[in-house]
Amino acid sequence: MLFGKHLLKFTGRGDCVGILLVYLAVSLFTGLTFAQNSQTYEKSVIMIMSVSQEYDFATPWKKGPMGRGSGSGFIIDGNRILTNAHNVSNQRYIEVKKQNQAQRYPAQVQFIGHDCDLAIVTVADPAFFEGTEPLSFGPLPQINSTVQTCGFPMGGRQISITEGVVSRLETSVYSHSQASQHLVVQTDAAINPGNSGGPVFQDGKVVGVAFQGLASGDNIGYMIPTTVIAHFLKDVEDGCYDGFGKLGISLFPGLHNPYYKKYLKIPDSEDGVVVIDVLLNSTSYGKLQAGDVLTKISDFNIDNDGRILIDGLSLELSEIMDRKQIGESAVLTFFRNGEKQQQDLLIAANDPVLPWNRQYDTKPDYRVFAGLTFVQLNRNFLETWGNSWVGDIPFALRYLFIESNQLNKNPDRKEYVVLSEILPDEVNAYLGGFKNQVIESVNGININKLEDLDEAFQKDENGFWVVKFIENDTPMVIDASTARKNHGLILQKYQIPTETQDNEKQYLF
Amino acid sequence: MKNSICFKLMFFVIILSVLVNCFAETVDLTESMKESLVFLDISATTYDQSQPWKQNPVSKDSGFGCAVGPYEILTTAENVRNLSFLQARIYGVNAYIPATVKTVDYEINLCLLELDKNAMDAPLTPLSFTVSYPKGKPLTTYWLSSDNHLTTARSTLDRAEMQSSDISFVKNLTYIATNVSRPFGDGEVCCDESDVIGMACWGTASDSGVIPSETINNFLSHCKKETYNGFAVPGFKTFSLLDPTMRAYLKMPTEIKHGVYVSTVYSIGTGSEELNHADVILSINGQQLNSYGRYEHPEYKLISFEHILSKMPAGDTIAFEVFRDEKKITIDVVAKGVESDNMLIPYYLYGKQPQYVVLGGFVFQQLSRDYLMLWGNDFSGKVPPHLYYYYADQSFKPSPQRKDIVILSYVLPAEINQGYQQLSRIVVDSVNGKKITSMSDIAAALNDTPESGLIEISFEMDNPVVAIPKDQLPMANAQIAQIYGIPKLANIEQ
Repeated sequence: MLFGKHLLKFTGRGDCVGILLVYLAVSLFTGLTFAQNSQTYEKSVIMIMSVSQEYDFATPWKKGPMGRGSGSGFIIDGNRILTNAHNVSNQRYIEVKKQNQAQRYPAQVQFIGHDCDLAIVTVADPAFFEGTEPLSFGPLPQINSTVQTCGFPMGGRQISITEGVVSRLETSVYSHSQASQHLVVQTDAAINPGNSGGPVFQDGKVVGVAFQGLASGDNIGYMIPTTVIAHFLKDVEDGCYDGFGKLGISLFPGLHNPYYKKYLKIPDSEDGVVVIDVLLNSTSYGKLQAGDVLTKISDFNIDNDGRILIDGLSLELSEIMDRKQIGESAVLTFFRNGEKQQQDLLIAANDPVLPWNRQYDTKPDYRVFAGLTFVQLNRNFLETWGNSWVGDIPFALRYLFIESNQLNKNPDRKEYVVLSEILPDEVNAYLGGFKNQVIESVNGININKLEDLDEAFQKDENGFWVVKFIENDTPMVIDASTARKNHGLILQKYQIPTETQDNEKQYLF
Repeated sequence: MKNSICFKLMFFVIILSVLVNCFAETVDLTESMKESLVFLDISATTYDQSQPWKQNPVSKDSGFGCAVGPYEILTTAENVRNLSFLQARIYGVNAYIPATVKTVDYEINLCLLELDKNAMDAPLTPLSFTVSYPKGKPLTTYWLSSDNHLTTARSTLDRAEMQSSDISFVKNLTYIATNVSRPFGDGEVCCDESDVIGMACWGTASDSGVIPSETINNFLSHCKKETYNGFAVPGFKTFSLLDPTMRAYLKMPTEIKHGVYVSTVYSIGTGSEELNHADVILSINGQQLNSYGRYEHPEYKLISFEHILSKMPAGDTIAFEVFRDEKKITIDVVAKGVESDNMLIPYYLYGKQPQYVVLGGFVFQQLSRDYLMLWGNDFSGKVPPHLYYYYADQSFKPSPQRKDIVILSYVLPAEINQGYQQLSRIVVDSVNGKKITSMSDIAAALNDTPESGLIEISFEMDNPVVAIPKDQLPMANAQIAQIYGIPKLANIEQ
């Protein structure tokens, strides 16, 4: 998140790509049999099979190919099944089954948190829950303590119970979102796809959900700890999932240098981290500023690495935000020009104008005018370039993606809009060179969000539609009357259901 | 009877083609070339961009050239970039002859060398370059090999196009030879029968490039002048104007169907002061440009307007007919070259040590294309995007407010810079509150001593403002120089 962004930047693109790609959504697996409480496992751990289908984010009226997969989940109180979000993302159909039973039950996603890779699945048929036992949760496991993972690795019919040791607890990227960072528990269990979403036990309690592994390492697997699970479960109590919040600031751990402390007028006895940027429109905007030194968050002292001591562990200060819900606040103690101050800061999503997270379960919005297709510039769109998209996308898009927080000085901007496709027609025959450029304005109206195009294309400039782009002095000019005349035919020719879609950001289930 | 006539006719054709081939083979300049061709033994040194105080190991290379005066040799500029020592061999003589660079123009990839007269028994026989474009005809290439053999290769002249060489950003007329019997080497002499029509400048297994005589003759005649100022380089960027809607938007009369759109005007180069964004260039020196910016050349057919500019010596006046503000006007544009040193991000630093300052372990460097090539030749998708932005979008747009981009390349870890050591590849904004517009500004800003005694350095984008104690610097610099083996802590051009 905050430090993470810097680490990515300072390590250069190659490492950045490595971090983006290195995590695989796979699960823990060993071949050992674990006898203790095996009856409980059999009654609580289930297999989830789903069919998924994603939209094409460049031409969003089209859907991509279907994919099938299976994972694990377990029953918790209230006849609910907890699993990984990546098991049921972009799902079109889900079935669940219990060990040693042939019968499959259709299931539905009730809540899904893509930023924490957790989901709650329900089954309408109460018969499914007959004979099952809900599992309960334990605390964070201790380093070097033994844990047992449980699930259906490689899609087998029998529950596999494996054993490993807790290697460490750290903040790391959750591969499902490709950007969100939360606490993870690392174990030395082997990694195999299929038991993602399965419980990890210690002393008969669930202490984590197995969810990913490090492909480049040997026996490095990760589970989602109960602090993150608790946040998710509490979050959905009100009937909707809001996600994890952030402060919207970038930090620099430079106070190891005594002269830097002197320069920032920080007492020698104080440790902390330096604010170097505050996200435009974030809840910290106007309250914190570059050069402030954060020394304390809530009751936790911040050290010079930007970490706090919590539950006996040295963790990123973002851990405090992870343990609070959006809408709650955190008291920040900081020094500004040598003066100690405090601010009560609201924890909010504080998403940047061009988020790094992958999107799931959202129907991408789009506009088509005279064959010119406009979509939101986001990670999913950029990923249409393929696996090497970071290096292959046009430079202007890469620059915006990586540096949008710095490049966007427009407080009214909600998103960047990009010309994603040109559906050939005589009216746009010469405009191919403008594809994949980011829109600045249309007919003199600034485009701060996709919906702004609706009004902008109602107008014209002396009979022309004039589209201006960011970082390009050459405008794109279209004959407005021909465009309006051909518009319907183009929609018909290319089978576009409608030129506008409601901005449906809600989940599709 | 008919069969007999046909057979005789075929026989006659075969005999004729054999004779033609034999005749072609008879034009062999090997003997006459012996007194004109040289082999070049080249030693080159570059600097380590990641440690700019350090030279890379000397590299050895070979090249070719030909006499254009008794003691003057023409070769490609690519052969002499980063030159540290050069010696030549002539036919039939074992001893090397020291050579020095007289004039070099990296933009047109040509270099004039001077041989040490005292090391030679007799002058060479100069070659004359004939301006000719024998499209489709066979070419013979001659060079003196490293083991002193006069050697030849064959190819066919396929086409002429404007092309930039590997060593510069400027496009020049280049003949492309195909069906090459062997890839051309830099400095080999290309002939159409007995006419010398150009000098080879690159080669691959399938085709090779030739610098044509018209470029060579322009270069050589310009070398005779008191000062060599080079040739015109565009100070603007164009965008094809095919779209009739765009023409209507610009309010161009429908009868004007030619001309190319000026999409960007730089701050250096030809037209940088005279042209405006959204001008439409209709003609240059009377040559009408089509919508792609090409004009009809009697020999080369449709070729880019850059060809017209490439022949214009810097300082000459060029007539641009442009469509601006709904009317045609003619503008006198002064031909200007673009020197790499004057670019915001220098395209090359051939033979020059990169500019840098090491201060308390902070390694400040001038951002250059050579630096970006630390990420490899294909660095576009790999370098930090803010650095690439300056290279891709701003290279030709220096200003008095911004002559160089100064970066903090990285920090050499030492006690004085504890806490700052993860900072790297970021653009310096100011030092002690003074904007850094060039490398020399760094040195000037350091002369100030703020009240706090701390040197304050700020960077662009979301990076911290850091402080270094000025009074600690002399000792820290000395220690860092010793520990990391830095012979000189700064190299700044004034």
